[in-house]
Amino acid sequence: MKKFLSFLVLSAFLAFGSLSWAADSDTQDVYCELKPITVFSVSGNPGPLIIDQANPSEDPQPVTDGSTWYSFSNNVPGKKIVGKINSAMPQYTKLEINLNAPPDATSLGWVELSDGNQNLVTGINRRKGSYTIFYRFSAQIEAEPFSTTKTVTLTMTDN
Amino acid sequence: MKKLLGILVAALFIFAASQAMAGNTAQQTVNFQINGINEISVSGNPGTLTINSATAGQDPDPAEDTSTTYSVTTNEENKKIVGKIDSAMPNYTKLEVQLAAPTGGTSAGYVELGTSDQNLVTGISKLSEAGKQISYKFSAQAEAGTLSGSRTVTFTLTDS
Repeated sequence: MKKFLSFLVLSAFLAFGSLSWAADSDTQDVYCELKPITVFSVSGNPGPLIIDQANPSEDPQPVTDGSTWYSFSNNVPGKKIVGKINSAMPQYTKLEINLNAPPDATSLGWVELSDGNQNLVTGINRRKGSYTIFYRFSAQIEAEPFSTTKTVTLTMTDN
Repeated sequence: MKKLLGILVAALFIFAASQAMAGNTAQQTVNFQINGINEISVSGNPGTLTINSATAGQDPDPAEDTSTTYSVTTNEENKKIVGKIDSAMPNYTKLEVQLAAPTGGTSAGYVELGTSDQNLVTGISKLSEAGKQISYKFSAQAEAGTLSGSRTVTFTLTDS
């Protein structure tokens, strides 16, 4: 009887031993960090904006371009897009810009560009995407014929 | 002469017989057993996974780390390695891991880690290999904002 009991205890011990080896684990600690990121770009330059038509007794017809877009990735809340040109437009002319806004943000619609920054889109939160840029060039009849190039700088910055 | 020869033969026989009687024999029964052995270990912790760049219009660039390895020993068949993290990742982020497979095993490639075990390598049988690469990838959408945190990843070698 004593022998049988010993045998049982030994068997149980062996069974437990083999079970305890059936699986094994080890761990790693992984530290993750997500930094503030705000990147902004445009797709290229718009086509030439050429005014060459007018109706009698009216100012020349404005021309528009919607061939370009801007893209951004931003993970910081409360951003806006501002824009300016590198020098003032000739007298009796104006260059306007209208940016389509991402969801939840607000476009200010057509905004006349000058050499100081103007708000174009406000209330941009954590988002990424690409949206259309529209330009409109208009002139009064008093404007002398000319051709020129302006550099438009768009900046995504804090609200 | 014949008598002498007979005495000599008899003496030799008696001597040999006495020698044989002098040795005792003993027997032992040796029981042996190899238990199932399953061991997995990692080389340490990976470096910090930092996301700090993006291409405009796209989600931030993922951060990767391939600086750590695992070692595995098993004398059984049809084992697998599973992995999990101790708590869920923040919204709009994910932590993925990829384990290089040991000989004969199959890696599941990059697998997103959750709080329950995910299969990482399957079909592991009777092998002992070290230095198998562990690759981590931390990715986030723009909506994730900025954050930092750590997770404990547990790898387990278990039955398939």
